[in-house]
This record gives sequence, structure tokens and C-alpha cells, in this order.
Amino acid sequence: MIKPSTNGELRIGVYVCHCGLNIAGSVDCKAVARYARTLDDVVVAKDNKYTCSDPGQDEIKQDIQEHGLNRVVVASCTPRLHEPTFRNACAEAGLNPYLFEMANIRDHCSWVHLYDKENATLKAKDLVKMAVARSRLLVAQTESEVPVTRKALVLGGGVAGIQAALDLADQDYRVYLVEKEPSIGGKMAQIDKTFPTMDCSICILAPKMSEAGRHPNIKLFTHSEVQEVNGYVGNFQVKVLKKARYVNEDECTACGDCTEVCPVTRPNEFDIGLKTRKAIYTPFAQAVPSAYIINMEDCLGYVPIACNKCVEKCEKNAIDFDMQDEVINLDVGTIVVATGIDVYDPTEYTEYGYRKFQNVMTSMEFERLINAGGPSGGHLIRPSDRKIPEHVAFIQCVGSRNEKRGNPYCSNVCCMNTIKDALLIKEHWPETEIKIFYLDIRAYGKGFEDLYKRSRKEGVKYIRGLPSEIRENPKNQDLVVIGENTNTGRIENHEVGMVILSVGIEPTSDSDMIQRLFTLSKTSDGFFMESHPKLKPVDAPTQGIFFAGCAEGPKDIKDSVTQASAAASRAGILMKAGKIKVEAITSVIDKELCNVCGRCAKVCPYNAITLDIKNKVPAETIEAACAGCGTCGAECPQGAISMLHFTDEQIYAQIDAVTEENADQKIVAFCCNWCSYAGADFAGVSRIQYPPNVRIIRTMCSGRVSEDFVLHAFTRGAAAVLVAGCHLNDCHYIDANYQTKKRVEKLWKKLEKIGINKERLQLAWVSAAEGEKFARTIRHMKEIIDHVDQEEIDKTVELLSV
Amino acid sequence: MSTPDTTYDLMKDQEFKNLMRQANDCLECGKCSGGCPMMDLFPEYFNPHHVLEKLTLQPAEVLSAPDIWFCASCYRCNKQCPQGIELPEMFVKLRRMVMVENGLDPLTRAMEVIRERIPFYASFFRVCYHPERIPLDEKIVKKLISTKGIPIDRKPLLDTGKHIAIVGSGPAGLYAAYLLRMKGVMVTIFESKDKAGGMLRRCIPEFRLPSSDMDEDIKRMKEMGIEIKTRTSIGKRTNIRNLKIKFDAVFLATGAHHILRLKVPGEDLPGVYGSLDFLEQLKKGKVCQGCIERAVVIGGGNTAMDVASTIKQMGAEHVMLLYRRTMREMPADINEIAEAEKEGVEIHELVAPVAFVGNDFLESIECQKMELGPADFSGRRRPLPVKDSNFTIETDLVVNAIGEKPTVDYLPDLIEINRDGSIATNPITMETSMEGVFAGGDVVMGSSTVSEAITSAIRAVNGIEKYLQK
Repeated sequence: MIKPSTNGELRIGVYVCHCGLNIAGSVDCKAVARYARTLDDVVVAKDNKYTCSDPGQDEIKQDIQEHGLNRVVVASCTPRLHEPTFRNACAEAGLNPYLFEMANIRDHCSWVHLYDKENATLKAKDLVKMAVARSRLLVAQTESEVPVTRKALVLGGGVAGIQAALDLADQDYRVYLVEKEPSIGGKMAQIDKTFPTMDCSICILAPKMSEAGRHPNIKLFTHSEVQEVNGYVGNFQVKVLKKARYVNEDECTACGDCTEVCPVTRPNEFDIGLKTRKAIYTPFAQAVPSAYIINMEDCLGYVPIACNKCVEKCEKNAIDFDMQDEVINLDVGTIVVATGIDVYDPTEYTEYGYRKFQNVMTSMEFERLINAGGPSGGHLIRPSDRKIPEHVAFIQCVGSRNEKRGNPYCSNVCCMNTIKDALLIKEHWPETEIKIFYLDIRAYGKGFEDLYKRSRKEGVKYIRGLPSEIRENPKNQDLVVIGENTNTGRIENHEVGMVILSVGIEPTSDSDMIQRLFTLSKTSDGFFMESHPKLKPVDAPTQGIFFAGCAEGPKDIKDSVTQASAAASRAGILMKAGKIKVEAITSVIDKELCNVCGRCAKVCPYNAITLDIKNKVPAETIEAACAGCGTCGAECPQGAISMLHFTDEQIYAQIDAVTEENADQKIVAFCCNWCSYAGADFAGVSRIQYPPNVRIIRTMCSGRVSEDFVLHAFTRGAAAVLVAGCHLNDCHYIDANYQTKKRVEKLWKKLEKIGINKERLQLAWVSAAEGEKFARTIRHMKEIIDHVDQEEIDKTVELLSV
Repeated sequence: MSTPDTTYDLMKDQEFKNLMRQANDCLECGKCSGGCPMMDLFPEYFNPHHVLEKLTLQPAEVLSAPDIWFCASCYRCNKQCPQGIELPEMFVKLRRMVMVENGLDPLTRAMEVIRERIPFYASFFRVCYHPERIPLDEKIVKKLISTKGIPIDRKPLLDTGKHIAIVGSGPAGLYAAYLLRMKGVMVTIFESKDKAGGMLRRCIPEFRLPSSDMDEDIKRMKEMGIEIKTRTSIGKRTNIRNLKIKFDAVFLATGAHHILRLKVPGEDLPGVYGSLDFLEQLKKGKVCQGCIERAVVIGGGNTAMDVASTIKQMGAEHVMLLYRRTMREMPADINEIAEAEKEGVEIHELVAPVAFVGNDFLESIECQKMELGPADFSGRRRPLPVKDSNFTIETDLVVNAIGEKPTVDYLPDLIEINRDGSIATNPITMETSMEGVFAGGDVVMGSSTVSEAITSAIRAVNGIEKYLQK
């Protein structure tokens, strides 16, 4: 199966990294390097403490010169982290970066077999052997360049989205800002004051909102949603649905005459139902665009008999009942996702009686009540009797840090928000007695501790312990907060006039849809996962997409703005260059071998293959459109398609290397680069332990895994095979993993038919955040292979070789 | 404080280590203790999360101290715990270990405290502590609740000249009577049934609470000078207004004896029982033990589980429990559900009865499948019927155990009632909207546990005391 390289003599250098004790702690790196020296074509094999350090890289460069290396293999961490580093080092020494290969002996080995040095070392040797085998067949590639459209899409018009849009627009890029609500502004527009400076929230936001509204480089799409996203970095095609607002934005002067005559009254969403609006309304005074909107579900209808009052009243004739939803096609080079958060609804905390007791409210409702522009004109009045309460209690961590109700994470902003709210009350009504029931006060940011201390000086009382129950006095709707003061260990009853539940924040309800549209990943807490938590905190794993604000995790306004500027800068870097190098991993079709069956074109998610079946014109790949998933390669019955840098031969060489020794103990796993391979990395980062029997072969997409790869592994005596990919609908190549599913199902039938236990072939959908699921899958498969004996394997080999 | 002890033998025990690991999850937020009725009763002896803290710092002490014996497995702590720690489960496991390691000593010390504080300790211990779960054999239980041992000084204070009327002789009424009597107040309890004890007397099966123990408890209360007038219904000849005139204050503790109706045709057929009636009949020996082959219990609370398990123990072949929501929403405690399943009760989720069918006697139930809609104001998802999903179950017996409502029909209009049918009270003093009339127990809280009833009685007595001083 192994073809000799075209470059004549092979000279391979192998570098085994200790990564301090990260690898050396559970893998005998010296033994691995010694082993590498015994492999064919390996000229140099060394181990060093940190291969990624400058001296480590210099050593590689030096060896390329001195020993005339034409292949380099580094056994260290995941290629998702340092492949670019080492590729650069090779290129600097004059070696084509595509002749570099990595063995992941940290994330997939030492970290997940911490206490089994013997087997971890054996596995590391295997992984090096696989990498060396693949490296022999690597071919130099030249990367092509694609243009980057110098326009950006910003999704979400909260403070993060506005900041990102402004920063991009000021860099002179065209920006489309898409917001689902009728106005931009987001949650920050609803908040009264900001911590720790006690600035008026809308006062500092409104200028930014109007700047975004009138910036010549920014086009606003409010009351709009993204429907479809196609393309790739630099060349995204986005379909935006702009829903009809029935009021012409350009004509409307926001005079408000229409509202006066509108007979329909509804609760106002912006004031969380504490105030009313009409069917034709503007969400709030500072709304941008400053135009009214009609909610058609509320409107009585435009037939003159039914109502038509607003149309008659509007002097500018801005109301247009015939307005239609519009679909707008946008071409953009980069995308900033700034979709923000929802506020937790505490109804399920039945012990606190939210919705049952009028004077129990959420922190967001409080923001509206204390706001001068809010329903009570800034007076903190209790809903039950419109009196200003003399005693107020705040309860922290409602819906946060809870494994059973709400969310398990800390929402980051509620402690400071409560401290700020308490001070606001003290500012207006200094006599009010305020008690804050807390679990831990987290005042970690700049100026936060000062604010916390100030609140204590002002006499705000802090009581450690989360109350167990709120009861209402039916006579006057006063409340009794019952709970343990954990500092004294005593149960206390606190009579108060109002309780404010400091509710947490959580991913938006439509975040699943956003995830699917942009093929993003989520961490276990439901927020979008960044490309690297430390080093690429605003990049999405999908190139060309960036995060700003709470969509990536709970954060306050300052951090949202910081991240928005970072995202704008990252997107700007891409667009400034105007072009981007695309990895040379596209498919190449051998016209001689192609029999024009058309199966490749059918499975290609990008329509990147052209052919003419009628006129027998063989298939051809449009390089610019090909994303390199490899589904066509797996589908071609003629073997006419080769995937650059992920050729059949390279994959066969890896399978052969795995199965050379003790194949009956091994699981050959094919993992897609984006989800499952990253999921296995995540298991490593989280130090989740699993049996050392698995050997992972990386492909760009699980759709790349052909039937023959699986069957070849079984023929070589492997105990089991795992095919792992992104969850269906989360595929980074649109829907290529549906082909994976189809293919594996077909294989199961085939195996069953010829009498092979189909349990030995497993299919798993593992996302980048599901380290535990990956480990669980391997543990489960270990149980399966424990029941597979040599006899069964011999039988399998025999059955398959017929 | 003794120094941390990590050399204890049990440290090698895997189960004990697991318990210690669970204890590490505690964030010490205090949600467990704030709602704990036992902490209300025995604050100086018991605090759930202090036990967890001890388990991490001084594990050996947990096994020698009486703390863990105060938990009554009501599961309120577990329902509120943000970390989902199963404290009652942990305590049961620890008790088993204590029995092996330190024998009865810690329990005996706990029992001394209980005997001192609760005059009807025999019933209290048997009902709250489920001795069979530890398990304790009957001989030990008898010894623990025997009147012998350290004599308890229960002398009332000097007579204050005040006289209080209490309506209902369940745990809330009895405890309020005891506390008031000790403060030198004269107490008269009015009970409509022929014997005092309320729900304890009516519905707790004989094997769990022998009537003789209950009688002992009541006798002890009477000896303290508490007057109990049985077979006296309030509202018929004497009403609350009259009581108010005759007495200095009134405490209402009439419980929740109204069985919620299913509002389904055929509900009055013979063979269809309400939960409490069924338990009462059973206790009186009026249910034929061997005649039931197939039985259906409707509901998802502790009573439903209890009834289903009991019928199964009586020898019924099939006992089905129908619940209109899913297991996730069931109000019953986890261990009650587990015990019912262990007994062999078949639990069917998302099923609701539409009609009871039969000519003279119940023959079958027509049921409907349900699905969950959006959450209602209780925070639970509302069950909605699935179209054309009706099916029939044949059965000899149906017990409706969907819940009980407070008994309030005897009350004057002056006393305000909440939307859920309970009496509206001041949460601190437990005073109703009628001055000088207080309420506690199930009639305020809806069906709850003995210990919860007692804690509400404590609140009420404090309220009454203040009222009397006015």
C-alpha cells in the first residue's frame, strides 16, 4: 500500500516534546525518541523540554539544514494549537510546510492516561509511528489565495454589536448591523445605571446608538433576522430577513401622533410589562432607528371600518400597511456574532413566590422601576400599593450557581449589579433598610471592591446565606424572608416591603439556531465556544467569525465593549489584507479515472464539482468553492478523487501503522477536525481519563471516512473502529456528516450480512465541548473489545478477504 | 473543638469516603437549614450543612454525635439544594454506619432530646423517623420510646388565668396545646372524631403507628392538664364566634381532610376510594386484604406512593400508579418513589383518567394520554391531553390520591381564605384575618409533614403569646 515518495530518499526528523511534565509526567519521552530512531527513514530523533520554544524550533531548523531533513514530525500537543508554529519553523528553514506532521501525545495521550505510564508510553510510540508513516507520503503543496470581501456583518445590536460595528466602520469597512428587535440598544438600554462608576446607562449608550445609526459605513437592519449563511472565510453569503415594520423608517419623524389615536393597549416589552404601549409604538424614547413600528398581531387592521386611525392621523403618510417582509442578500468577508443573553425567569423557584407575590420582582424589573424614564418615573414603588418600601431585600444567585434550577455557572454581573442597585436606593431614599442575602460576593474587577465597601459604609446589610422561603402577609402584602444566617447558624425572619431576586443571565433562546446557521460550537454551559480559551478568545473555531459580548459568556458592559473592539480588530486584520491563503486541502479529480457517475457532485455540500453526465464530461473541482471536507473522495467508486494532504494512501498508512502490532487490542478512531478531534482534545485539557486502546486518525470531516478505510482496519485485525463527527446539523461542511451517517448505516448492514458483530463499528457525534462524551464512548468501546477475542478477529479477516 | 481526625477506621470504607466526597460539594448557602423543620425544633442540636462540614473536617465526630438522628427525611433540603446534595439519603447511610460502629448510644442521646421537647414523642418518632428504613427492630424502638428512663419535668408555669381553644387534635393542635399549657395557659382542644390524633390517628397504618402508642401519648398530654373534647364539631352547635367570646384566643388546626375530586364521571362508584378514606378503612380493617388483584392509584405525591405500596404489600398482583405529568415533576420524595418501584408498583407517566366505568361496581377506567405544555405559574409544565389516545385499564380498585385540601368549610366569612383554599395568615404570628384567631398545620400549609405542622404551631404560639399580652 505504501508508495515511495516522489522526492527520492526520505530523511525524517522526529522531535518528542516533554511539555515540561505535561507529557513527560506520564510518557517516557526518551524511550519514545529512542523508538523513533528505529523506524525506517528516521534520520534524527530527539526529545526536548519544550519543542515549541525558540531553542526547540531552532533545533528543528538547524537539523533541516544539517541533516537535510525532508520531513519533520513533532510529537507534542494537538495540531490545533501548534501546527501553525511548526509549519512556520519548517518554512523558515526552507522546507515546504505541508511536509510537516504532528503526533498528539499530550491531549490524546499523556493527559488522558495520567496514571498509566507504561501504556501511555506504548500509545505515544504508536502515535509517533503513525505520524512517521503518514509523513513519508506527504507532498509539498502551494496554498492558493482567495480574496476577502471588505464588508462585515455584525449580528446583534446590543452594546457589543454597536461597538464592533463602529470600530469596523471607523476602519473604513462597510458594516451591516442586524438586530432582531425594532431598535438597537440591547439589554444595556434597559439598565438604569452602570457599575462601578454609577454612570447613567442610556446616557452613555444613546450617543453610540445614534452614531451607529448615522455612520455612513453602517447599514442598520432592525427587526431583522439572519436566515441563511453560506460560503467561507472572506466570502460569506448571508440572507437577512427584514421584517415589515409597516412604518416607513425614512419618513417617520417619531412625532407620536399615531400612538395617541391608537386604541389598542398592550404591555410594553421594554419595560417588562410594567408599562403599556400601543399597537403602533416605539420601544423607548432613544430608539434607533427613531421610527415607529406596528405590531400586526395587536393591530385591529387597516380596513377603514376596523380602525385606520393612525393612517388618517399621520401627516407624513409614513404608515404603509402593504409593506412586505424583504429578503436581503449580503456578501461579507467577516462576521461578528454579538447576540447577547436572555435574563433568567425565576418562576420555577417556587419558594420565592415570583409571580405569586406582587412585591417580589427581578433585578431587571427593578432597573425599569428605578429608571427616571421607566413606568414609575424613577420612584421605587411596590406594585401592590404604590408605596415606597422602607425595607428592601436582595437575594443573590437566583438561577445561577445551581445544578438543578437555572444554570450551574456564576453569571458574573449580578453581585455588582445588586451593590449598585442598593446604592441607588440609598441615594434616593437614604433611610431605606437594605439587606442583601448572598452566597459569595464576587467583586473582582477594577473599582468593584471600592463600590462594595462604599455600600457597606452606607449601611447596606450583608447577610450570608440564601433564604429558603418567602412568605407574604395577606393583610398588607409585606414579605417575610426566612433563612439561615450562615455566619451565626441561626434561622432568621426578616420582614421587608419588597424583595428583588438578583437573577442570572443565560444564552438566548435562539442561540441554537445561531449555532446551526454559523456552524459554531457551544461549551457545556450553552455559550459559544471560542477557538482557544486563552489565546484566541474572540475567534470562533470557524475562520472569519468572531465573538463580541455575552454570546461567548456572561460579562459586564466594560468587558463586552473590550471584546467587541477586539473582535473588530481581528476582523479588520483579515479584511485589511484583502486576501487570505486557503489551506491546500481541496479535492483533485483524475479525469482519466472518472467514469462520470456523478456521485461526487451529488454529495458535495458546496456544489463545488461540475460534470456533464449526458455528454460524458468528467468531473472537475472548482477550487475556490471547495472547502476540503473530502466527502466526494470517500464516495468515488473509482478512486479517481484524491484529497490534498489527506490522501487515501496517507490514511491507509496510518491504519497500517496502528494495526501492525496488537491490533486485537486497538480501536481505530476516525475523528473530524472540528468537533470530535477537538472533543478528544477537550477530554485531554479536562484530564478526563479513558482506556489507552484508542488511536485517533484526523480527517477534516467525518464525511471523508470511506467504507474502505473502515473495512481495511478490520482486515488488518483491528478490534473495533470508531467514526466520530459533529452532531447532525452542526457539521462544519453544511451537511456532509449526513453522508457519514448513511455510510456507517450501510456498513452496519454489510457487516451484519457477512456475519461480523456490527457493535465493533461505532458511530458517535461528539462536539468540541463534549470531552466527557468522547471518554464515555471509548470506555464503552473498551467493554466491547474486551469481548472480542483473537478467534473472532481471525474470522473477520477471513470473511473480509473473500 | 477536637482536632481533625483522619485516622478513623471508617475512612477506609468506600461508602463513607463517597459520603465525604458528596459533602465537599456543599457551598454552605444555608438553603437546607432555612427550610428544615427539624432545625426549627432542635436548633442547638441540628443543622444539615453543619453535618456536611463536619463530615469533611471531623468525620469521626459525625458518627459519635447525635446530629444525624434529627433528620426526618422530609426532603425539603434536597429540593432546594443548589448542588442537588441528597442529604436525607446521606443521613440514612450514616445512621446504618453508626449502628455498626457506635451502636445505639448517639440515637439514645438524640431520643432524650426529642422526649424532652415533644410530649407525643412515641408517635413523632415512629412517623417521622421511619425506623424500618434504618432498620431498627421493634424491640429497640419500644425501648427508645418507653416511658422509663430519665424522668422529664413537665410542670406548667403558674396559672396565667388565660384560656385558649384549639380546634383539631392533630400534631399542630397537640403541640400548640403543649407549649401553651407549659406557659401556664389553660387549653381546651375540640376534636370532631371520637379519638384525638388527627391525621396520625386516621391514616397512618397500624403497623407503622400502633394505636396503643398514640393512646399513651394522648394520655401524657391529658396528665399535663390539657382538656380534649372529642366528638365535638365546631361550626355545628358552637361556632368560631362563640369560641372567641368564651376563650381568650382560638387556634385553628383542622388539617387538610378534603380529598380533591377528579371531576370525572363514575367517581362515586363503589370501588373508587379517596386516599384518606381508603387508608382509614384499611386501618379499621374494613378492606378485604386478599380480594384485590388489580388496583390503580392516581396521583404523584407521597400519599399516592404510600397507598400504592400498601396495596402491593396486601398481595395485589398489579398495582398501577397513574400520573398526568412525568416523573420529573412528581412531588413525591425520591426515596418514596424508589420504594414504590421496588415493591413492584408500575408507574405510568403522562396518563390521566377520563371516566370510571362499571354498572354497580367499578370495572375499568378509561384513560387518556397526556403531553407537557408550557410551564404554569407553579413553574411545572402543564399537562395537555393527546387527541384520540384513550385506552382502558381493567381494575378492581381505584384510589384517588391527587391531593387533599384544607378543611375550612366551618369558618365564618370573616376569616380570609387563600386562592388555594388554605387559611390566609400573617406569616410570622400565624394570626388570621379575624383578630385573636390563629391557625397552623395543614389547614394553612396544605398537606405537609408532622414536623412542619409542629413548626407552624411554634410560630402560632409565639403569636398568641404576644396577643395575650396586649
